[in-house]
Amino acid sequence: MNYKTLRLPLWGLSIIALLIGAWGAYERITVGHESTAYGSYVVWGLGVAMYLYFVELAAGAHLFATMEFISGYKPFLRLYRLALAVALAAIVGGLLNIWSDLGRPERFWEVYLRPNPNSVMAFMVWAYTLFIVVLLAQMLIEFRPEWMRALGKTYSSQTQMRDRKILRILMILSVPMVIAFSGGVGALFGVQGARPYWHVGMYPVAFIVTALVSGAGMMTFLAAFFIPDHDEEHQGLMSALRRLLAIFLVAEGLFVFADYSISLYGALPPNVAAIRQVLTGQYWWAFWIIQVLIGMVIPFVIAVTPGLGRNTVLTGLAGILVVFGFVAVRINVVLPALTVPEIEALRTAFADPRLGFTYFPSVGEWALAIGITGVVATLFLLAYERLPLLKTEVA
Amino acid sequence: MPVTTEKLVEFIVSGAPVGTPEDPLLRMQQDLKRALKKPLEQRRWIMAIDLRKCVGCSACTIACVAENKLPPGVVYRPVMDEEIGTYPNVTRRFLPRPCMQCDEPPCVNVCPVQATFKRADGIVVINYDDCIGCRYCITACPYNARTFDFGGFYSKGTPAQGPSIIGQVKTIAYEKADSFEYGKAWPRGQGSSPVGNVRKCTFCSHRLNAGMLPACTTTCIGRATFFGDANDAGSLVSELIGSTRMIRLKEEMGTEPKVYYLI
Ligand code: SF4
Ligand code: SF4
Repeated sequence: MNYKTLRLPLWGLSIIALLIGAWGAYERITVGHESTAYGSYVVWGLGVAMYLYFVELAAGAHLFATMEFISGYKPFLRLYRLALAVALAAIVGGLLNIWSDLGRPERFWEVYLRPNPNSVMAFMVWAYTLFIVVLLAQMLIEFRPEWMRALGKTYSSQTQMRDRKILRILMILSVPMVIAFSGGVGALFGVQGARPYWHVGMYPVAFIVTALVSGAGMMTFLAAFFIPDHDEEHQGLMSALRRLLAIFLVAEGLFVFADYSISLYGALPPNVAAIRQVLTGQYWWAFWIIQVLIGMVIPFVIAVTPGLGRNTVLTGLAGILVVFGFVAVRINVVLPALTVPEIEALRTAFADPRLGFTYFPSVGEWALAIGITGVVATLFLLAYERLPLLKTEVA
Repeated sequence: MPVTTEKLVEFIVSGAPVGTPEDPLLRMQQDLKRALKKPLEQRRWIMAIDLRKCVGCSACTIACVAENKLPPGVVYRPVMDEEIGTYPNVTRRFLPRPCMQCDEPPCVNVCPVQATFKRADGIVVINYDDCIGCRYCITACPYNARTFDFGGFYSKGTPAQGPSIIGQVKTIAYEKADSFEYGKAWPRGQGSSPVGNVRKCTFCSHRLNAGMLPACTTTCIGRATFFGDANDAGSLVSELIGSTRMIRLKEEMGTEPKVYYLI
């Protein structure tokens, strides 16, 4: 199976997602936040979870763009342009999600004009703005041979040498930047002393690990189905990706286990209540089936079982299972802390649909999230079909 | 003691016989007048709530909703009603929960655009014109004391016509009337701020500026809510918070709340 086989279903799904999203966007514009199912207590919902998901995917993909530079393993170069394209499409998706989630989206620029230096959120916005600048600069230089030739100019070997140096500097710069914004998103939650479920010192590190898992999943999927040359180097790449996927999955599993088991043992009531909701609550299946089984166990088994792992199609499927399953990881970060009241008696203090402690996304929220996912997929597919993503001249 | 006209008026308002201790509302009104003569930074507004006097009627909640024209999903001062024990040994406890106007407010630090801040007199406010509606501050408050304005109306969805809905026209007009929080008119109905913003109790700062006590304080039928300036040793609230019955919610959070409970 290769891209030719997948092309039609992928475009079909993307277009359907865009159409659904168009309705979701129309509803959000005309009805505003009244069309959402979250409230004043469960104050963040699917939009914030999808924002986290896409920014972490962007971070993970970008770390894979620098993987050859970090590891010195040449086959990773095949992923370079693909990874940059994923990072760009995903960061667009992340920002669209959070922008549409703001109560007053027309004022987003206030974060640049009057930032609060003490706010982790302001820090994060600045960090991913810098990330986007560096990412665009990287793409501009990486695709320079093509656009120069398109303009009828020659691309000399001296220019290539110079560009390579600049690109290496940008890569060096981008790694701490990616770690800063990916970890910064973890810090956004970690600093919240009021919410024991989020108040985890290692959250920034855990978020970087999650970014790496999402990135590894996406890259494994792309390497399996979007790189047509299945030569020896490709085999090497697939095997490296498999190993990385397995290692990152183990690290992710350890983080979740350590966090939940220590919190349960510590027995702080709001923390225990939040974790119980994840493990045995109404949406237990989101954790056990989507996050653990689909997002972690099945891909891990495929990655570490030699008989299965050598099958490129199966490995690619393992990658996409991770990409899908990790949506639940994000939902299980955002919601449990909010669905536990900070003062128990608030549950019944004032009867109002927006002052409850349960949440399931509204149709409008689903539509918008699906639509933005469609935008990300369309951007990537367009880049894949219109730009030479399968080679690298500069890096 | 001579019975003056002023004393007679006091008697009528408070129901207390002349010469008996002053009604708390009248005393707090005097405390307020004194405090307002001082510069802003020398005032330190606090609230004390006597839980033995609170009857759980929620009049304060409704007074606050009316005063600040709060839409669905927004509440500044819910009264929590807890049932303690098991039948037949049951009792109930009521606990009003306004914003604690924390001296170390975790909601302020997190705001990415400095839209929420602590004023010189200690009241934590939100600048509706700057708030981007990210709701990060709501997640940071340990008391769930902030709520989000979704732009709704209580009257939404009620049938457009029909004689059975008494007062519908007036209700709709009332809901669309301006709110005067922060001493400014905030028109409703065109989706402008505070729709899409986070909202919270401000100790009725607009009323304080006009020399009036917070709406919850004047409405409390049990005379359970007290308000005043803690920087004035002669104020009623200063006396009350010296009581051994005094507690504050979630002291361990280090937020230094300025709402005190007498248990
Ligand atoms: S109670 Fe909550 S909203 Fe009020 S000042 Fe404290 S942290 Fe801020
Ligand atoms: S919702 Fe408004 S006040 Fe609260 S943190 Fe965001 S911008 Fe600041």
